[in-house]
Parts: sequence; C-alpha cells; structure tokens
Amino acid sequence: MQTAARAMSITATPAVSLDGVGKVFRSADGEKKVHALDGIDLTIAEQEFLCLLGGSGCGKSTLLRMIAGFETPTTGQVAVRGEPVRGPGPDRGVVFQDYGLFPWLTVAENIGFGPRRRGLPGADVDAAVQRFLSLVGLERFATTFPAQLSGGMQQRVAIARVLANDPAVLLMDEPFGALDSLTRETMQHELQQICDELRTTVVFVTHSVEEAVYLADRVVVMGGGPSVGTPGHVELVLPVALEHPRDITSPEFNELKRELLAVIHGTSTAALR
Amino acid sequence: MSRRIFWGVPLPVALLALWALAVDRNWVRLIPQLDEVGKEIWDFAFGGIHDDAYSASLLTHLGASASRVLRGFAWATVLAVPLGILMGRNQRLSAMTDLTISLLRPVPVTAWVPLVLIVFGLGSRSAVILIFIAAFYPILLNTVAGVRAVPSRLVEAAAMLGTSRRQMLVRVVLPAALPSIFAGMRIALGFAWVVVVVGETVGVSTGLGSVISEAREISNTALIITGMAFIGLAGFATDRLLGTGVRLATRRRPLI
Repeated sequence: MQTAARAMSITATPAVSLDGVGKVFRSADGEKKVHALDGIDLTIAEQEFLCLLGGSGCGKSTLLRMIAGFETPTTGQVAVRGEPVRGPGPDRGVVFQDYGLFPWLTVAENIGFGPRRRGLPGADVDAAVQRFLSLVGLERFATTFPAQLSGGMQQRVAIARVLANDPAVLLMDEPFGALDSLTRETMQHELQQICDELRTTVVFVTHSVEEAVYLADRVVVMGGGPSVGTPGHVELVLPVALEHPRDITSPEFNELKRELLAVIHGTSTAALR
Repeated sequence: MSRRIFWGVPLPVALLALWALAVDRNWVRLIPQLDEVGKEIWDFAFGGIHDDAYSASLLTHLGASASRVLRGFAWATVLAVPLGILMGRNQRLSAMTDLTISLLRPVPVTAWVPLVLIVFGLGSRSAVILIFIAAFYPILLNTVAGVRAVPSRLVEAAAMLGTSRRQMLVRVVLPAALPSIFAGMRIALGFAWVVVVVGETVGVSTGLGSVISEAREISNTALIITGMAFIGLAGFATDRLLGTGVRLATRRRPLI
C-alpha cells in the first residue's frame, strides 16, 4: 500500500521541471547585460531522453548548467524530482565535452570518486566501480590513467563515473562533440543501450540534428541568442517515436531530420533579415 | 640518464683546467692551486693532513647547516602551503593578506639579519628564522598561483559528484596544485642554502657558513673554497632528495 503510494508520487513528479526560467549575464563591471535565456518552461519525465538542439549561443548549455546547479537562474525555478536546485549535487551527473576526469586518479578511482565522496563503505564502492567499468567495457583499463586513453574511452569513463552515483538525471553537454565521427556513432549507440538498460533520465545538449533524432525521445529545438538579438527560447518540441536502435537511413528518420532542419534554418534565416 | 651525465662532464672539467692554467700562469693572484684545494677538501672531510681545528670537521659543520636549512624550510612549507591554499580559494582572505605580503616580500633577507639577531640573539635560532623568511614567500606565492590555476572544470566535476567544500581542498585543489607547490618548494630550498650562509656568518661557531667566514678572517682561501664546494654539493643533494621525495609521495601518479 505504502509502496504503491510512493510509486504513484514518483511517477507524478517529473524528473526535471523548468518553470519560467530566464538568465541574464552581467559583465564584470555590471554595465553590460546579456539576456541569454527567457521564459523556458519544460518538464522532463522520469526515464525520458530529451535532446536540447540548437545553434551556438542559443543558451542550451546555459540551460543545462542551471539544471546542474553551476549557474543560478535570474528568473524562474529549476527543480529536480520536486526539489529546487541549489548548487551542484550527485543527483545530477554531468558529462562534459572535455571529460573533466581527474588526471591523477586511475580509471577505477575516477569511477569510485563519487561513491567515495558520499561516504559509501569500501566494498560498495568497489562493487559500483566493477559494475560500471564493465557496463562501459573498460575492465581491462581499471588501473590506467585517463591521459593514456583515447577520447572515446575517456568519455566512457566520464559516463561510468556519473552513473556510479545513481543520479536522478544525466546531464550531457555536447559529450561527443570532440570525438571523430566513427567514434561518435559508436558512442551514440552505446549510450542508447546503456540508457535503455538503466532507464536513465537524460538531458542531452547537441547541435547535431542527426544525433538528436538518433538518441532522443523528445527533441527541444532552441532558437535566439545574442547574435540573433532575442534571448534564447524554445522554438519547437518534437517527439521522436522510432524504435531503438534507429536506422539513420530510414525514410521516417529523414522525415524527422527534415522537419527539424526546416525549423532551425527558419530561425537562422529570420535572424539574417 | 647516463647520456646526460656524459654530456655534463666536459664543461666542469674545462672550468677546472682553466682554473689550474690561470693560477699557473699567474693571471690571478691569491687563488690557491687545485691540488692545494684538493688537500684542504680531503683534510676537511677526513683529516690527517693539516691537523688543525677544521680537520675532519665536515660532518659537524654540514650537519649543523643542513639541520638549520631543513628546519627553516620545513616550517616555511608547513605554514605557507595551507595558507596559500586558503588564500587561493578564498577571495576575502586573499584581499586581507595581499597588501601585507606585497609590502613584506620585497624586504631582502639580508635586511632582516640585524633585526633578527637583536630580537632572537646570536645563534642557531636566528639562522633558522632567516631561512624560514626566505623560504616562505616562494612556497606561498607558488601555492596561491597553483591553486588559482586549478581548472574550473575539475572543481565543477568534483562538485557535481557530491564533494564537500573541505573535501574539495584535499581531493581536488591540493593534487591539482601540487606541481606548482613543488616548484615553489624547490626554489625555496635553493634560497635556504643561500641564506644559511648569511645566517651563519654572524654569531655561530658551527656550520659551513661559519667555516667560510672564519676562513676569511685567517685568510685561508683554500678553506673558503672548500666551504663553498660543500655548500654547492649539499644544495645539489637536497634538491635531488626533494625531487625523489616528491616522486615517492605522489607514487608516480601523473599530475596536471
């Protein structure tokens, strides 16, 4: 009875909710203001994979950094599982484009860093490390240092590191942007498998339409930005209901791509006028 | 490594040859010939040649100097590293201390000598305090710079993994700043050997610095050069020891 009620309340609360979120950056002297984002309303359901898609400067990364707690919204509120976000925390794991691994720690120690900081007993830390090492297929590299790994392998470590904290939501900021295109495709495929297996909630920032359509349950197209002259805002929300793994050559896939590209290019041509 | 040593040997040999030649041809006066210095070095280390007050006294003097250097250096490290980490992370503490440090730092250690001698008296303690003053600033400034240069990405990564403020200093800021801290310690250790000579010139009867200044009083140039040679060797040895210690302490982990 109690568990049923809890399950109800969990499914009722979205994983992430953004309520009228806006962000104004001020220059150091306080003279200049940059209106980066305005009036963002979004809810991300549990187990949903959401892609924030947009060109540079549209505020998609800023939005992600506000969910992470690295930035504070100027207006509105960000909540994760109903709790207002106050600073970064282990319930929101962030995967950066430049990995952000600790160079003086081995792969295993990087993955165990979060569990250890949260004061888990040694045996539980080791179990978590083993589990996520094998999930990303890096068992053989447990005692290797990050600098000795390729970019794709480093990003696998970064993903395993945040998953070891069992976060409410995984926040990924153009995580495959620095990888070569073949590695990127492999990583996209593996990420999708991992997220299907663990039922992880993901907010994924990208400027690649194909990446968004391949990965997302829902694509949020963002427009605006300082170069356009309007604050960043949501342009379009498009659900993607294709089966996993997705065939990037199928007509359905390309139809969605076409639709998104039309919106994106529509906003950029509007900017040129 | 052996290759590096191989290429390092010719220059000092050439300089020694030039010395011998210069003395032989009377290009310089009052500089003793190499063999005379060699005998003095042997006598200072093992005795049996001159049988004077300095025969076989190396360990006494070297031990006294090294002990002062290490005490002053250790105090400087113990105080400057934590203070530097806090100053590097805390804007207000940095604002509170910057002016004081900027005003005190340019005062040369030699200018501190009279005041330190009056306040702390003649003796070992004054030498240690002078070494502490000299070693403190390079360690502090390098620590602050190292802490400020810690990539913000690593701090963000640690924060989102659930690292508390105190753990952040120990687990992220300190290891990321280590190369800079070690660089500061190395400079400081070099300064410490400079200053021990200054500190031992006045009011102490042991130490390589006191040997040099006494040798000057009795115009024993060979003994002066002997003292200089052992200070050079001691500085070289402690620098190598520090490097090895650092490698052992970091267990050969890659640093930033």
